[in-house]
Amino acid sequence: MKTITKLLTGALMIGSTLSLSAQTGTVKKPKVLFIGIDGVRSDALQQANTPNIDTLMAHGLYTFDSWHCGATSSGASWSTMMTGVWEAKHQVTNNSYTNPNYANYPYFPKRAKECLPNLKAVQIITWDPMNDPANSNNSAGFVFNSGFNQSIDAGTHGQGAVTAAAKIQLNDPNLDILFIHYDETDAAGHSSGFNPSNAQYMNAIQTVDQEIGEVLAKLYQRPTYAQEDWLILLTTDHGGIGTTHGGQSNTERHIWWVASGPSVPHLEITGPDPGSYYMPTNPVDTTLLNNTPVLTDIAVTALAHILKGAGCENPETNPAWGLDGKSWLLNDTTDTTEPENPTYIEDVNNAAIEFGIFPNPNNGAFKVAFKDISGNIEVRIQNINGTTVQSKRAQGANGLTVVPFDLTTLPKGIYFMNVVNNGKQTVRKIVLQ
Amino acid sequence: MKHIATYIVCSILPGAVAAQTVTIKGSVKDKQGTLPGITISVDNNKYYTVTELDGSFMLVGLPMGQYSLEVSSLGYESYIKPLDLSGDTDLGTIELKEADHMLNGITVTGSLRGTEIKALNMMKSSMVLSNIVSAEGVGKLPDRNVAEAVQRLPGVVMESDQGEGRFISFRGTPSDWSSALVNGDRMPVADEESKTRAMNFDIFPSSMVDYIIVSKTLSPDMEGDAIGGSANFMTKSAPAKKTIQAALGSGYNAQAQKPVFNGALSYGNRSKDGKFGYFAGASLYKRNWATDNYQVFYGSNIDQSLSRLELRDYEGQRNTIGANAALEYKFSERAQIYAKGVYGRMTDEEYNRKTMYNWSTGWGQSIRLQNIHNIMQTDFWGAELGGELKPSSKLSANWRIASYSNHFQYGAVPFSKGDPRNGYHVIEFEKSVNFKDFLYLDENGKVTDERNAYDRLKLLNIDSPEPGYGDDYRNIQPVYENVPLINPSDTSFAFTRAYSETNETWEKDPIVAQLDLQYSAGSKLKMKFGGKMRMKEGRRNVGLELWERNKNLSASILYNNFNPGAINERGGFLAELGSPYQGQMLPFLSGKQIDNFVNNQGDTLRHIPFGTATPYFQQMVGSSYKYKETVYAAYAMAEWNVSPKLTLIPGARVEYTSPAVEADSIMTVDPALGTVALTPVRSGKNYWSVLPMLNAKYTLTDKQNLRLAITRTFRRPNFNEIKPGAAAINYSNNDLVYGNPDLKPTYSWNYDLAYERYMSASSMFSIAGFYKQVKDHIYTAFESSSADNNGVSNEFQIPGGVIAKKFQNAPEAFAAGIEASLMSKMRFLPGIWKNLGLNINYSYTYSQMRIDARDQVQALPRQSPNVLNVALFYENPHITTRVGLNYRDPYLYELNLYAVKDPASDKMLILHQDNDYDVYVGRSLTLDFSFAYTFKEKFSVFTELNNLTNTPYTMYRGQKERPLKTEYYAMRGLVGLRYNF
Repeated sequence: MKTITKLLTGALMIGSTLSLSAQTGTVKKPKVLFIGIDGVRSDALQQANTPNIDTLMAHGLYTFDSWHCGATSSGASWSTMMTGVWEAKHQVTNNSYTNPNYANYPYFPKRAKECLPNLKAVQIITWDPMNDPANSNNSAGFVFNSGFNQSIDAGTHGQGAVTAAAKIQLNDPNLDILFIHYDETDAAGHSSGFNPSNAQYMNAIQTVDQEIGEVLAKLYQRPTYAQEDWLILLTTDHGGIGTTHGGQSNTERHIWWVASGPSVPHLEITGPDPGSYYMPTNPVDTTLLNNTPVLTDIAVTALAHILKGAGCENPETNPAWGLDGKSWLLNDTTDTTEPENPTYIEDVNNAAIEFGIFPNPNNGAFKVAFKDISGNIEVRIQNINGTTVQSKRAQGANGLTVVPFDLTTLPKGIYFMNVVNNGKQTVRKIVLQ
Repeated sequence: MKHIATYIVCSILPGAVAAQTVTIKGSVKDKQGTLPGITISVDNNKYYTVTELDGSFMLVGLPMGQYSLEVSSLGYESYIKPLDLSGDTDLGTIELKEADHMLNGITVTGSLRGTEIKALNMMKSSMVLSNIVSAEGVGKLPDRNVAEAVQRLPGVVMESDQGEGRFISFRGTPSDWSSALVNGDRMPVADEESKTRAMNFDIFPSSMVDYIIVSKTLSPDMEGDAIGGSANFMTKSAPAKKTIQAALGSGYNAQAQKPVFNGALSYGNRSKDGKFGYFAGASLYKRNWATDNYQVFYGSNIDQSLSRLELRDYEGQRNTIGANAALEYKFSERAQIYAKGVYGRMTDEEYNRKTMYNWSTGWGQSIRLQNIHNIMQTDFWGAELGGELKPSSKLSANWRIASYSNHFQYGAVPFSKGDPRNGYHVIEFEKSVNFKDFLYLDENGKVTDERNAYDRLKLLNIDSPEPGYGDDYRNIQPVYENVPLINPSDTSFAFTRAYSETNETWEKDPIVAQLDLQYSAGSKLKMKFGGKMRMKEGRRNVGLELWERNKNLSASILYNNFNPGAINERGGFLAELGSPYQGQMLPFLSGKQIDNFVNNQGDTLRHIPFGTATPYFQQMVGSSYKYKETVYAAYAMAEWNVSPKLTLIPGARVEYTSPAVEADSIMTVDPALGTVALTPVRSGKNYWSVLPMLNAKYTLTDKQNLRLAITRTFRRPNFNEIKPGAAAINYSNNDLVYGNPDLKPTYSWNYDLAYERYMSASSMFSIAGFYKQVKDHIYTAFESSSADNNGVSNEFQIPGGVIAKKFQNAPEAFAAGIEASLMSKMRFLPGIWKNLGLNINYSYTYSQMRIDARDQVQALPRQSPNVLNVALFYENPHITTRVGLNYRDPYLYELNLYAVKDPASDKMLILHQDNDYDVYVGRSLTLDFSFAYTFKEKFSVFTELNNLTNTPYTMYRGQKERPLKTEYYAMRGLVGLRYNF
């Protein structure tokens, strides 16, 4: 775990834009916006037209290799993300929340308040079991000990209500942690199939991306934004299979998340399957678990961020907390020790031209996204022998420029992407799986 | 009104009134009582009329002179008398002698046969296509409620609930196309589940009924909202002489393995001068019942995979109390007044134990146990005051004012009486498991392992792409293992929640007023005018009281701590299928434990009262509504004896309906905090219904009728169908139904042609053809769900999503059919066999409707093609025995018009053009038996056996090998003693 952080920092120190606070000398207040979108399969997200999510990825740490090690139902998954521990500890194994152990493993805002009691944390949800009725408009719900000052159930009014409530909450200068949850994607999957070829499901993903765009725009408009250090976390809880989920197939387990903001490295992380607590033939490999991105990392990364500089005990190692996840936050120690179990990492921050490839690795269908770029862009895909197999040109523009590629007919393997813009050139490796 | 009527008649037919004519009147009876439906013929049908229900007749407009009067009827000797008319003449009472009595030399005891002859006479002389079953006919049948009695009539089908008759329909048409009337009025309806206008007749014991008149064609003086037909239940009125009836019976329900009890007592008498008569009766029917049921839920509209198997064991006790009374006073021949009262109460106490195997994995794979107890209580009453005035010999007026009320609520479970938290009370426990019986398919539909699966399905063998995989529909076996040990609640069942589904539903018709004027314009023409007004109001109010564990204060509540007991499988759960679920029906709590659970847990549980601060409130708000409706109707018709053979009844009825439905929708008060409030929404479109009707009867011979009817009738939309606002959610069926305030009423042009032949007093044959051209038939269509039902996912969601439906009009539809009936006593057989009789009725109906969503024409939902009733009976003075068979074809119940919105074109794409995802009700074949032995003239012992074939009630998806609901009730029987004085 430790080694991973070191590796990251080692790879990223050159030219990194991290830690604005350290550079300017003024301490920006760490804050967390956590957006959950329910039941979005990795391949569907990669194929959907989601410019807002793409932008977050381009400015953050993201992975399409977050393997789910528990039950892929919402109750279990969100509990894992919110507490930073696996089911053996939080004990929520399905959506009935029969015996949750939040008393010993509370939601991360509660933990954060143990150190910084004056934090203000709010959640906005539509999926009622996640409600904490202690301080809510909804008197039902299964969550307790969450640390949320306010739990808002947007009820049957759908994702528009979540966005509207989120925008209002973002007006509050004292807000420190905001968790919002969109459920329409999951509902679409249940009704017509969790499947990238299902237009309705894809449409739900694209629609939620617009909602996210609105929330982010509101966040950036905060008068105090310049004095704040926001970490934006965006995740799903599980994938899907057919019209359901909750099992252990790859399409349910193999999911994604994004951590975006100046306090995390800007790169894509990939990793092998660390196994599952539910698969006797694929048991959890703890070494792998400590190196690859997983759901428990969300709460721990959020805690590490929000407690940054507060002098609290390290959330990763605090024995009283017993958290299972790891933080992906950049830290300022310099250590270039080689990792024990190297994970494929690509340095995107050091590039002459900034762009993102979504997804990577991929099956051949992917997009290249540029932000605020001018002039002609030429993208050439070359195989390992240097032969150009496909090339495209695009005109740069303010905002996002997306160039799609379809290499699905090409043999699997490693390819290189050669991007030329305004006399600059950047080469990136692509893995076709 | 009277003046207007007279004026109209006078202006139309000035000649008829001006002629010098006289009137004759009188009444007809036999030894036992008055005879309705008897033809009074003057000069071989030159002039004729038919006796009323009370046996009276009047014939006006006869020119003075000499005539021959003939009173002839099935089963009686003809009465012939010469008349010399020089002025109005009262012929007094004409008593007919029973023909069979004389011919066969059999001593006929009591009035048993007479009433059946009465019924046949009424049918023969009726101006509309009708069937009549008499009190006696009702008493003969092994039926305790009137819906079951009436299903013995030609072309009548019964829909049942837990094995008992509840709704009726005609010739296989949808049950809410038909109207069920009590004394001519449509009854208010209050049912726990059904939101239709169809009366729930299980609260109505057959002992309260004198006659049931089933009319397949309407005349303008009848309520016009009956497309399929109309059944009129005439409650008992004051008898002609002292009458005492008593019955006592006891029996056994084989499914419940528990007793059944029935008792009835009635008394009626008349004062010596005959002016004052009264009747009072009461009955009690107490029966234990039980049902073995399994239900299969399909999680998706995309494929046929199973999401849930529910094994349901029901045990219950029903008590029906019925009482009715009638008073009658004749001031004079010209004026009489009467009052009637009816009361019915049914309580149904039910224990339901559900074991739910939940494959659908969105929730997490699990087994759920629901311990359910509830008491359903329905109270019905009606009161009626009416009278008859005959201001002149030519004009008579009948008036009546009535008031009715029907009320449903849950009884005192789990709290004391009157507690608003009483309801359908459920204590639920759950355990996580991993199912091992999935079929895993890869992207190309090839079998693979779980890890690489693209689809994970639990399938029936008929839907399996893989040979050897899949369950037989009669034996769907869940295969599972415990999940890895994470905490104790995963290996033992743990409490998840308790809840009460609350429901108070009532409907009242506070005032129903009716006036009918009959004017005899001449010897061949009677005019009838009238009006009716009905005020109606009603309310359905449902809620959900929830109890969750105080999870921060308490440890989980484990099932085993309650020592749940093994269920009494009463000879094997689903023994009819070979008891495939032995040991799979898991142990359950006792009734006391269910009732006391919430109280005993005390602060361990947190009560979440129903209100705006609950998520399910926002979802259930659409299930509650209230409404008012006022109906004004007026009609005019003539009964015109065109020739000795031909009678025409032209006329029209106009009904004006003014409905108003009020429901709630949710409004956000503070979006920042998610707080909401209710805002009322209203709907209701007034409409006029113009219903021209023509009935024609041609008497081919004395014993043969030819009938033709062209009538326009309609069906009012139900209140839930035109309800505005949020969708109503049915948790049991996991669906969500939107009202449609723009719905139009359904109209039908009905064409009926019938031939009747009366062979003897109790034998007849008829054949009829009918065609109904229906516009705007209302049906529920499935709709896209996810786009519309934002955020319905909460803890009451069942994985797989809910299914959204909406009421819609089908622009064009028709039903056409033929119907044949034979009622025969086999007099031609030798010796004792001549007492054998056979009644057969068969109807075949073809129907179709065209809807936008489907390319092909569609059968009308809820229409059975083939319907057959057969009764074989043997009757002699001592023994009455009968075997009855009822058969009904499967029918399409609901269409699956599930659609997804194509984001590119924004169009809704219907997923299924074929019937593979449609819901059907399975075929039904029932056999009943009754036997009665009469001794010492006044006593009889009887036995009744129902459901001898143990026919299950089934529903399925597309084909019967894909079951939705399968329910067995077993046989039930009753043995008793009856006393008639």
